[in-house]
Amino acid sequence: MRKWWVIVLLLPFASLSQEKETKKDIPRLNLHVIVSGGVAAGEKSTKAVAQLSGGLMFGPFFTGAGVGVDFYHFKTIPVFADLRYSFGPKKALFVYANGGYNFVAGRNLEPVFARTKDILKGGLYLDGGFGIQAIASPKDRVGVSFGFSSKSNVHIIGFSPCTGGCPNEVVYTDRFTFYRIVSKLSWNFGR
Amino acid sequence: MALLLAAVPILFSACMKDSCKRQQVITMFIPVYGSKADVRNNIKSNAPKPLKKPGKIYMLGNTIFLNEIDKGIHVIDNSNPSNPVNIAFIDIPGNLDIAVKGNILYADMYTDMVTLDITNPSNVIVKKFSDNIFPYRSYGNGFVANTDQIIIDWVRKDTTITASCDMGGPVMVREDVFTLASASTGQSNASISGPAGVGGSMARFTIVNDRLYTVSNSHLDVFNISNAVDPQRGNPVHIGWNIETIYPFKDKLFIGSMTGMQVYSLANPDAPAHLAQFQHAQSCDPVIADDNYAYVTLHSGNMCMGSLNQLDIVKLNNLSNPVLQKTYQMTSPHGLSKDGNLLFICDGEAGLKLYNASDVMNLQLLKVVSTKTAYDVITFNKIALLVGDDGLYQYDYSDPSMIRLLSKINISLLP
Repeated sequence: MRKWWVIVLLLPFASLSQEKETKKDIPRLNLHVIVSGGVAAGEKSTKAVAQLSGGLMFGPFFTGAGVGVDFYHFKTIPVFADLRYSFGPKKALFVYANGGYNFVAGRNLEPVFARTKDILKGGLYLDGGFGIQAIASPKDRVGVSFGFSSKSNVHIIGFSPCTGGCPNEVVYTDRFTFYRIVSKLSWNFGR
Repeated sequence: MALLLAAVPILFSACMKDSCKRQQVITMFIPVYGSKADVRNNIKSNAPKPLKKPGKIYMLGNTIFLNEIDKGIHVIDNSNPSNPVNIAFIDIPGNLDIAVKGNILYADMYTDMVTLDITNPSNVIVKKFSDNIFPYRSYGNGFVANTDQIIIDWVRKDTTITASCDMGGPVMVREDVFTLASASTGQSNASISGPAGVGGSMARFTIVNDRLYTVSNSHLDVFNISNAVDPQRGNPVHIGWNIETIYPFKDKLFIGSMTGMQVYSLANPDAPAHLAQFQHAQSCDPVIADDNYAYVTLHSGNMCMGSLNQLDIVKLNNLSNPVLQKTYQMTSPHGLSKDGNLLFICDGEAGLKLYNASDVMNLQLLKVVSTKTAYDVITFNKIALLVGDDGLYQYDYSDPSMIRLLSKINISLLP
């Protein structure tokens, strides 16, 4: 009977503890920015790639958009949607998928004699893979990823088969799809 | 870490294989062959056909013989120029050129030549076939015709060809069909119903007295037509390259080429002798002449590979050294004709132009007749017959200041 007032006194503390545990379990929506750079290696060569993504992290899921620069064969600027999923102990592992369009950047083609047309166009951009990440600072993570990427381009070439001009110009279209293995080092700002 | 980052992709890159597909839109013309015997048996005055692609024109009395490029000859009764009547069609596959002496007509038929009696235009009669007169006749673009048969028509097929980019150039074409590559700027393939034979320009046949002279791309051929129905071929004369036209004047031949005008003497009609050459920039080159001057039109486009569009007037007082007198800029001059001091020039899309040429240093433009791409013109009895892209016109120019359209036979748009 004398202990009833102890229980009444302790009750508020008990409810307070429960409240703190509930706030910890509910994932928060956080803004993240991911900067990455690496190499893309394919049949033709090994060239640098770099990306900048921004988006929202909700629990283990990240969704956002990004832009990059890709020097493989043709210099292009991919613009893409970026999806990631982190899992494992301390969310040290992740898988990612990028999809979008790569735009042609700057001057890619040298003038060729007798060409009446030399147009380079962009195309589909895809990149997907897996990685590992570690805590770099209280809010940031550093990661390494390996993936498979493809980018497409269209090259339209025209030339005149006769010197001095002909009524019909020969035009043909080359449709490229480049397949690469990519590896990137990334810094994830925000946590 | 950096080493791992670079090494892993490089290690696995050997498994990667880029993809490249080359696409090219081409128009294929698939030849339809007929047997030589059947084709030759059909060379007669058949039912009249509508005009589709008129070429060269020839007048004999009241009858017009109008070439239908690669198909044959329209026979048109022109007794009433205000109402010409298309009375017959002579089927001659591969025909591009004609020449007439008396009642005998000579026409090319691909590599061969046919001699026709046209005494009765409604019932022409074949007199002789001369084989392999024009061996240079071809369609180019890699197409090789089956010479055991005769091409009587073409079937057009537009198609997209896909091949590997490794081939290093446009998609290769086939020998058994004629192909035109896709066109972006310039001439569209959409209006082309068949490949015209190489060398389709103004006159390449001409007759002087008892000799028929024909030019191919590089040779001048002489036929003795003393017996008109039995032309006898002499030795061909090499006269250069890229020969376009031939025009007789008195005892001379004026031969136009892509690089200039040549003058040949017919002192020995069986052995024309080179007299002089007037060179100009690369272009196409129809030419006519009067007592004092040669009139040479140059136009760009098509096979001519030049960029000039002009009329050159060349003085002929010293035939061993013709001299350019004056140049007049034009739009796209093609065939021309002269009647006294009146000079008629087919100036492409600019129409038919009539000049007072009494002073060649100061041509006076008298009249412009708007037509759709004027191609060739001949004049007789104060009537100008004009071949254009859309038909055959006849104009009365008895009063040059008031040229009057007498009649027009339209091009048929039906297939």
